[in-house]
Amino acid sequence: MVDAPKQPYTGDEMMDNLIRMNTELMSELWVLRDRVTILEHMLQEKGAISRKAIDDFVPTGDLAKELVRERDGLVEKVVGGAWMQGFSVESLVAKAKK
Amino acid sequence: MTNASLPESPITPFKTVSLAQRGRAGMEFLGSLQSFVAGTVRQRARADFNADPEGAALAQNWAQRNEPWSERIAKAKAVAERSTTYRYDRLMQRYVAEEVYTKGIPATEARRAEAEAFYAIPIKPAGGSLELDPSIPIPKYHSETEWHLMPGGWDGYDLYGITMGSGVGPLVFVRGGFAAVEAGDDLRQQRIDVAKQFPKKSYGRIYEPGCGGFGTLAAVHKVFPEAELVGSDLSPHLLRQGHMGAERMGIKVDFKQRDARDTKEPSNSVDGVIMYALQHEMPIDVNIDTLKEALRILKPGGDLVMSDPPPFAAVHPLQAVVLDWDTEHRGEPFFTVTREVEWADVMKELGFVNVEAYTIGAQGYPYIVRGSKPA
Ligand SMILES: C[S@@+](CC[C@H](N)C(=O)[O-])C[C@H]1O[C@@H](n2cnc3c(N)ncnc32)[C@H](O)[C@@H]1O
Repeated sequence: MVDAPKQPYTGDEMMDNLIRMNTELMSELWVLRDRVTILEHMLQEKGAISRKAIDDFVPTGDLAKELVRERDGLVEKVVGGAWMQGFSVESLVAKAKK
Repeated sequence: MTNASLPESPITPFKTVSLAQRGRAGMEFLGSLQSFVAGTVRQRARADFNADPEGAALAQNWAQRNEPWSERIAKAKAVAERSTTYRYDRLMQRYVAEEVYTKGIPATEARRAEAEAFYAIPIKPAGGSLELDPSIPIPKYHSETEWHLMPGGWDGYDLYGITMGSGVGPLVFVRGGFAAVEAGDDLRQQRIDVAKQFPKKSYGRIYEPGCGGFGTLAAVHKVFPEAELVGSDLSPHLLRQGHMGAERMGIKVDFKQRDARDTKEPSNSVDGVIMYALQHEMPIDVNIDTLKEALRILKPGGDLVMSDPPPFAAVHPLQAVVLDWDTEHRGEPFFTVTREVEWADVMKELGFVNVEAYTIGAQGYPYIVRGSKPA
């Protein structure tokens, strides 16, 4: 068993945890970006969709609405995550319905 | 699976198993992170150290101070830890050291079927041998340490060969920036440069105690293709990997399971001995007995080349703190004690002649101690 470090490196356990979380997120972000880049490359190689077509594509209609919904949801989750505001079954159900 | 269906490996000259996208990209991320932290962030930590009056004073007369190393390191560590940049650097070093296994082992497991198929591919024999000897006593310090935070130690996982050979080695370590290795250092070239420290033009038989796998002997073969090669180690897993690698590369090497203190080779039987990254993995008394054994098996006039991280005296105080850190934080129980010793003096006392200690790298690493058996 490799044990956890005896003391936090920054002097504050929560700060260590936050930095670890942040680094892990960066790792996940990179894994995804690596994958998307490969995906685009392979699609182009196979002649299915070119990278330029992806760059030039402007989402409209339902797709545009879906992206707005997803983006706002992400901002709310991440930025809003810093403020604990209390919650109830109702508030959570309302959130799910948004 | 056939040989032909396997991808080229960036480090081994033969095809091998590659990690799937998630594993590969995750490991590559660790390589970038470690290289950036050890390069850019560490430089800032060093500037903080030098800007601290106490740090500047320590750096002035670091090697000459009339104090035990433990006290000097404690003072330098206190200065280093005043820098938040240094502490961030340490957290990231620790993070990468953990993650190469916490990410590397699952990434390897995802390729278990491919790995097993790879090991089953027949190899055209190169004439080398593998002699495992289960009767050899394995010292406790070796079997009970989880080296480098590697769960279970060198023999703790049946596919560490893939974790290291297809993951940690080519995707993380290749970028440098851990322990004594500087960011951007080329590990493979460093081994070749170390092999070039043998003073003669040609060698008959070269022995590597604590060879692990085939990394250093491959470098020796590059420099002295004529030399007959023998490598020994305590770890059956590493010896198997080494044997397989050498045979795949078509290079004849005899691998033997031996304690470096008791090689069972006849006296006066080898022309050269090389020890690479062995010293810091052994306690002081084991190191001394290993040097005695090397002297015994060397032919009169034969040469020993040793390379390990530099002694504390040969580096900047912040680098000394960084080396010392590995002892407690990266599963290296003997890093500190072996860095306190000037091994050239020990070799002279033991009877080696023409003993020299010097660095062949910009920051004190790779560090060489070499000497010869009296003719
Ligand atoms: C960091 S590895 C270096 C391996 C190799 N020399 C290389 O250049 O890659 C240290 C090695 O020393 C071996 N070792 C430690 N104590 C030993 C001993 N008493 N006898 C033989 N090998 C030993 C370990 O099993 C491990 O393979």
